[in-house]
Amino acid sequence: MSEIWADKYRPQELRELVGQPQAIREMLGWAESWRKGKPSKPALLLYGPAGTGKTAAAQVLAEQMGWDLVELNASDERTFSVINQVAGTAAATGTLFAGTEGKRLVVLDEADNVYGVADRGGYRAIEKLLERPQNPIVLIANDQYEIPWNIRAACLAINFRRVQQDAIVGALQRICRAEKIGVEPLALKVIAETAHGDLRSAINDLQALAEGKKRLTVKDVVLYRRDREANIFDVVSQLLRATTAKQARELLWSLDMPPEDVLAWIDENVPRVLVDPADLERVYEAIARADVFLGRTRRRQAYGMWGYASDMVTAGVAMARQGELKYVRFQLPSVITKMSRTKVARATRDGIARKVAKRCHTSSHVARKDFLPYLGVIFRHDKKTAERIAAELELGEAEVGYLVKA
Amino acid sequence: MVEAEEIWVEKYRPEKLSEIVGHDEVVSRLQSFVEKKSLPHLLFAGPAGTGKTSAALCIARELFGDGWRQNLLELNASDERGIDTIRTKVKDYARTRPIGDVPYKLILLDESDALTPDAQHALRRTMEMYTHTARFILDCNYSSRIIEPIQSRCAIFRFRRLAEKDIAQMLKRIARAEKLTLDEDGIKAIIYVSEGDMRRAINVLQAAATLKRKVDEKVIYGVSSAARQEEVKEMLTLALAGKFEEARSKLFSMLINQGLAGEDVLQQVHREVMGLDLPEPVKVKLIDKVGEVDFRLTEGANERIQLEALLAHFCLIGDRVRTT
Repeated sequence: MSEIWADKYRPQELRELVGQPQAIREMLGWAESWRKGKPSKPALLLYGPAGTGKTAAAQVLAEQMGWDLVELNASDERTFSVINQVAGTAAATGTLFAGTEGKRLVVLDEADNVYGVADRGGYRAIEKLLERPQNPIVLIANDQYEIPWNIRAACLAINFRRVQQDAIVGALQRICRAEKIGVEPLALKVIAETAHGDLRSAINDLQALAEGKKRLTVKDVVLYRRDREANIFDVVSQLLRATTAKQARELLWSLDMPPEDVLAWIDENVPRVLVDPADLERVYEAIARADVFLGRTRRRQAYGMWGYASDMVTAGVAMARQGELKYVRFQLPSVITKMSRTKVARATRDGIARKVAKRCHTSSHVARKDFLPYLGVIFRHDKKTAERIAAELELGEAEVGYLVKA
Repeated sequence: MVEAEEIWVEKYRPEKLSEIVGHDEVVSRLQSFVEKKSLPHLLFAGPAGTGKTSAALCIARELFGDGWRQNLLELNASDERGIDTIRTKVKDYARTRPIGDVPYKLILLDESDALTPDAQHALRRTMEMYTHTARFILDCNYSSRIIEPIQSRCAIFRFRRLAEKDIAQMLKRIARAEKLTLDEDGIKAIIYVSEGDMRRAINVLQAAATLKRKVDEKVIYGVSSAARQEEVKEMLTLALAGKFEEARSKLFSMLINQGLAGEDVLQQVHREVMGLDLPEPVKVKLIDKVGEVDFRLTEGANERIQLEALLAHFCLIGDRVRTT
């Protein structure tokens, strides 16, 4: 692939930034105060959802102000050992770029993601930096409240909003013109709609769909969207046909789905696809092992166990299958629909169980297991006793109905 | 507040310790506590339907007389939402003085082995805190699932599975009072289908009585199947015959529609294995497998997935047995 369009069409000046007029004004005002040597606040905090232009804005600001740009990633733990060298001193005189005013713009990306380095003084390093800033600083985050309050207080916080659909369509149109691609207007609207205010992902989608084409139609876009959703069918099918563990594992990467969900799909479909009972047994054992790891993840919050669950549900399943496969239409996991179909009945049942449990000094699970089946027999066969029991337990009409039918 | 009891389990629940069948040793020691009105914390361990809850309720009645309901807090560990709810309820309840001349109130915590070890440690601290105003009676199936520090603070009583003659005696008493005809084969059948669990035995009898006033073996097996007690066996038979999807849909019906716990289904699978038409060494291997699944459930695995895997295993075993 050639250059990524989201980079290629990055704004050159702040006023070209799509859909953030308010943010641009505030940023320029702050930069101006730095240029005059009287910073209003030591740092900027740009926060907002992904793909709204935060990083681009910081980069363009540096260019526009003639400042050197130093980008650091806050989640990189080496950052804090170098942070003071880079940010704590004024740039050396006679910087490489003529005309810079001896300032560096220090950009700390993912500032809400100092996870893991926090205990090594990550935020303390930032804090210290903000006390006596030599250089303008920009913190970038998705969620401003993930940043400690004292750091937030030292920043001018600027909100980057989701980009409006019209603005996204406009940006996509400009790209199409530059790339000389004819386009049905509705096609761009569909892309913009899917993006939910994330301009970068809209541009990425456009590139995936339109690059190298003369014309982009609505049909192309709609098919692409369905393709994305239908993917799971292919993945399950490919998974069962994978011949190496690595190939199977990597299938999960192509799919944005947690192992639990993949597990549900496999669980639903393998009994219909597999012919040999030995295959069925091995595949289920692989799923069951994956499930054990998921259980450990949940119970002990041992998130490292996730990786094993993923591997068991992909590679484990793929290697368990040895015999032939039947061709069937894959189905959506039915347990979910079964659960929602029975929701009302289950709630009624549990309501009865609670009443029985209270009356008979036991738990609702014992009530479900050892009382409800026999109450059902009584309610179906002896109306008089049923009425008396119903009165004693204060059962409602629906509850009586449940017992009669159960 | 007590009107006519319609559910026989309650109607015929013993009201005095002396009426409890089958645990003479335990009963006489409990009686001496009650006489002296000096009660340690108690831990009752034993299978379902052996009289643990009844004994606790009798103690409350005998200690407090008519005011027993005000001086007893009944909690069920599997129904309360976590140890914090239990602690709050205990705190609110134990704060006030007991009514009457007994210097403490009673707190009955049923199914206390449903609490995780961490929760049990929190419970232990709670027991300490209110030891002047409250006595705990903890019910559990296995005392080994209760942490040492709690065990050491309690007098432990083991309730063994009831002997057939004890259950028979109770069933006959009920039959007389309810003017039913109950023959020996009927009694045997009840004991068989209820696996020596008194609560279940009485429920079976009450359900049977709505079908026929003359309760015999045939009626009992009719009730048992009407109450879907055969479903686990049917599920296993389907799996052994290679009908995985049908077996699985029975499993889903038990777990989802009836709301049974995976452990309950598994326990019944365990019991059925011995009676299946399989070579003896195969049965032993299956039991080993069942145990492994049970262990996985205690580790937090998903009961549905694990039981499905077990059914797939049964399918394979069935296939092997057929082809050799």
